[in-house]
Amino acid sequence: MTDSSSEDEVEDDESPTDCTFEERAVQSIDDVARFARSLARNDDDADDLVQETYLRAFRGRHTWREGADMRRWLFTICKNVFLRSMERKRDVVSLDDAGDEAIAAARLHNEMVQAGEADLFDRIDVGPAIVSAIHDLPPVYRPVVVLVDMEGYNYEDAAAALEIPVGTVRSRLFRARRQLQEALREHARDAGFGGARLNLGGSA
Amino acid sequence: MLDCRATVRRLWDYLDHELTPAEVKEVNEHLARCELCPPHFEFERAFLAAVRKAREERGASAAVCDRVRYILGLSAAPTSDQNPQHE
Repeated sequence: MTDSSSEDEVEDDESPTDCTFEERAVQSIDDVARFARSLARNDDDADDLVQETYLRAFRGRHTWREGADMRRWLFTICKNVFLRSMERKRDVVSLDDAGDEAIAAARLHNEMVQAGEADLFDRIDVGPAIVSAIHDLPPVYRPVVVLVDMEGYNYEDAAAALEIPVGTVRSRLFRARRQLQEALREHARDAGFGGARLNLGGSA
Repeated sequence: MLDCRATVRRLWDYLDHELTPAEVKEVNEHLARCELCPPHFEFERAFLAAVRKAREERGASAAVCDRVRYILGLSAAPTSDQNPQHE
């Protein structure tokens, strides 16, 4: 398999067409870096992954089709470089009903309402906690969250970029979101947020 | 008509714009007449917005930007030990 194996399948790019290949490629570097961090375990490894991705993209630039989605092409290369570096695929996820994860998320929300924690997004800056929580997710969950929740991919495009079924994207994404919310709840509690002072659903 | 459980099962697909127009209509109809479900949807919408906002904190490092720009021939070689192993 080549690094650019999915190149021909990507949708047309909406970026201006008067840029060179190199200029276009570098425009996506923040996105590729976020994706690389979702795969790698630390920032140094992620930087190496980004560098190797761009090296391979540069070498394979003749295979990039003008008008194709550059960002998605780079994501695919990045993922392939990562998988090759791991020398094995970690692709084991049970196929629980994704809808049950939504039910579980609603249940967690109910618990947070009871504990006076439900408005934490309005009251504290959870950005750093989210970044940390994403980093702590299981490796198979991280790239799905980054592609869908950060880069705005729909399920089908994320599945294509990661070369996994759409159903797997959904199940991993929903489960990851619940884990993120549980981590944010812990963060809120550590920050002294919520508790009895705001408990509107008390036992009185 | 959807009940609460069936509506909440569609929560993520709804917020991710992955439902068909007919499915969206069913969820909207339930939300319009239910007092319990809308807060769940509003909470998860706020959660997704917070994750999206956190994206801004995760761009490429300056070091790797320099290395990639060099690889692409858009700048001179990075200094010191930042040189990529360019074949």
